[in-house]
Amino acid sequence: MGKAGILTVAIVTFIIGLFSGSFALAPLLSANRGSTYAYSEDSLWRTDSIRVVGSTTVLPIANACALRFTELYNTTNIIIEGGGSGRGYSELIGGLCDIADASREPKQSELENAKQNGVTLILHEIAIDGIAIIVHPSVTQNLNGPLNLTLEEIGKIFAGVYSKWSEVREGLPDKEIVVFVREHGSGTRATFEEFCMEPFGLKVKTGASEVPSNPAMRQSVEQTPYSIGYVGLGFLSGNVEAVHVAEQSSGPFYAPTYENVKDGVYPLSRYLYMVTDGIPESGSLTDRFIDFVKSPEGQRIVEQCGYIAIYPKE
Amino acid sequence: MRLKHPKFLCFKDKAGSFSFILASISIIILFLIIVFVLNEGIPAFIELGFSNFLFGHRWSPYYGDFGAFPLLYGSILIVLGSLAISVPLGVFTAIFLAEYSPRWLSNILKPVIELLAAIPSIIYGFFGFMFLAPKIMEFLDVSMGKVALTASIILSMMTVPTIVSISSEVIASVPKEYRKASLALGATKWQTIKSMVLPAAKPGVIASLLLAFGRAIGETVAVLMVCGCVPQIPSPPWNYLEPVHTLTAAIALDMGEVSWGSLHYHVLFGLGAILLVITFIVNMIADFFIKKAPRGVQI
Repeated sequence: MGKAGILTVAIVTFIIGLFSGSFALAPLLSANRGSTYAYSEDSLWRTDSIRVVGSTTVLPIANACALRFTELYNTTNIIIEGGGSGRGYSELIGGLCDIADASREPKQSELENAKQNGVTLILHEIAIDGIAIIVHPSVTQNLNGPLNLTLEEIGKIFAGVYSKWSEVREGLPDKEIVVFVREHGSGTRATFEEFCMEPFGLKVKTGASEVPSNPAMRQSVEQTPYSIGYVGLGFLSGNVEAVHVAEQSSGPFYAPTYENVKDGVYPLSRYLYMVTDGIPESGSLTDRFIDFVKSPEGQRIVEQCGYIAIYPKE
Repeated sequence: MRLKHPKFLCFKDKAGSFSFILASISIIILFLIIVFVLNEGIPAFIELGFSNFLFGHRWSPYYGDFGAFPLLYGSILIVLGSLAISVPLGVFTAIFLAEYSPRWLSNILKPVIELLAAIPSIIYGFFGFMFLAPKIMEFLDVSMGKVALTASIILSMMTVPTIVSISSEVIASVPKEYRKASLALGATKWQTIKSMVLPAAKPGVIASLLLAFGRAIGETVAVLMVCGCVPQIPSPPWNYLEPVHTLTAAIALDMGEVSWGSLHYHVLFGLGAILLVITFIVNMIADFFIKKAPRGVQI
């Protein structure tokens, strides 16, 4: 009996050791993955596998491009995940993914974090996206045309300076405004705040409801009368009204359409990025994939997803 | 008594030792999770100050305000609301199943109710988001359907099976002699249930409520979809028709976006630690009551 007892203690100790050991060794084991391969042979990158993580705005592009890319080179493996620009940056800095999708430039804290970890963030512009301010159709039901708002008015609505629609404009319903915003790490939110809140020293009111993604935002505004929210241009569809936006109250007010964003007249637009740690090794799968997204075929996919291409499509 | 050769780790045979090892694995995992969560969460308490973090009134990670009180309050508000619905529903269902229902009906009802527990929580969330929230908005004439009440109703649906299955077991396990004695004294069926069976089963029923509490406060996805995610304390504080935010929903909503090692990252683990402490306390109390059940009548 004593023997079994000692054996048991030994095995349990071994398991505990294994657990704590794997914790301690994890950084050492993962440190090895940064080593560079020489991609001189054309075939080597074809058996590689990369992980692309980040912004839900870039997600449709990354997904569609990866689908086409792996169709062309069916031995490659590209894993696409969402999670937001914040997750993209933090995983790239942590060495957990190869490409981060981002719909905003890195924050100061992320730059510092990258510096500490010896990561150089290289931003590859892949497309342009506009942010559409959307309202429930009940808001505009008494108007003849679209709802025109300046950036400052939009900011004041989200900050709670106006609590009822009738305070914003004559002819709008005398109802409480329901405000939806995105969660803190969202690139859509960062861009929105940069354009509509920060220039006027405003902050989103505490009564604003947070939603986790672009589709959830559209759904929430669709479902809730007298509500306002914002989505990426690619998600502008369904039973919502798009607000026409101007920088000054004198106008002109522009609708969030592809043409307006492309011409650079629509005020709420931004670049979308794929971010890598340093310039990707020439001929590596990371390099090839980003090149593909920038290629005419990739840029056609960008347009199909509802964004604006920035490289020639032919 | 003199202690003999230490035998506490000797188990009859090899199967005993083997199963002991497997049993210890889950304990080790639990231990590691606690160490990990506390290790990552404590910096938040240190940096923000314990009371500033726990009782701060503004939760707005985008602007760097980390006051967890609205989240804590929202969690507790929703869970209490859900218990207010699920306790009467669950306890009376349990009484019916254990006392009144014929065997063939119990055999149908019980598995069906337990099936409720098997439905993935995302399905409940989806149901609440697509169906219940619009209905609540329509019938109660509120500006938004995703309010504390919606979350409470969804949670109560999820916790009823816990209450029913444990409570009906406990009620059924009250010795027959008690019932017979009570009936022999001339008490009616309901009188027997009320003053004999229920008091005897009380510790077990309370334990089931506490386990339901534990399940409800830890529920994430369904709550995230229907609570509205507005980090505020409703006015007045017992107003169930205003959206709230919860500890679990805040963690789920922000976790994917947070940059590693930042204050916000530690704050989220801090919220996790708060949640762990709450569920541990509740589970320990429930354990205490389970041990008491049903060992005799306490009237």
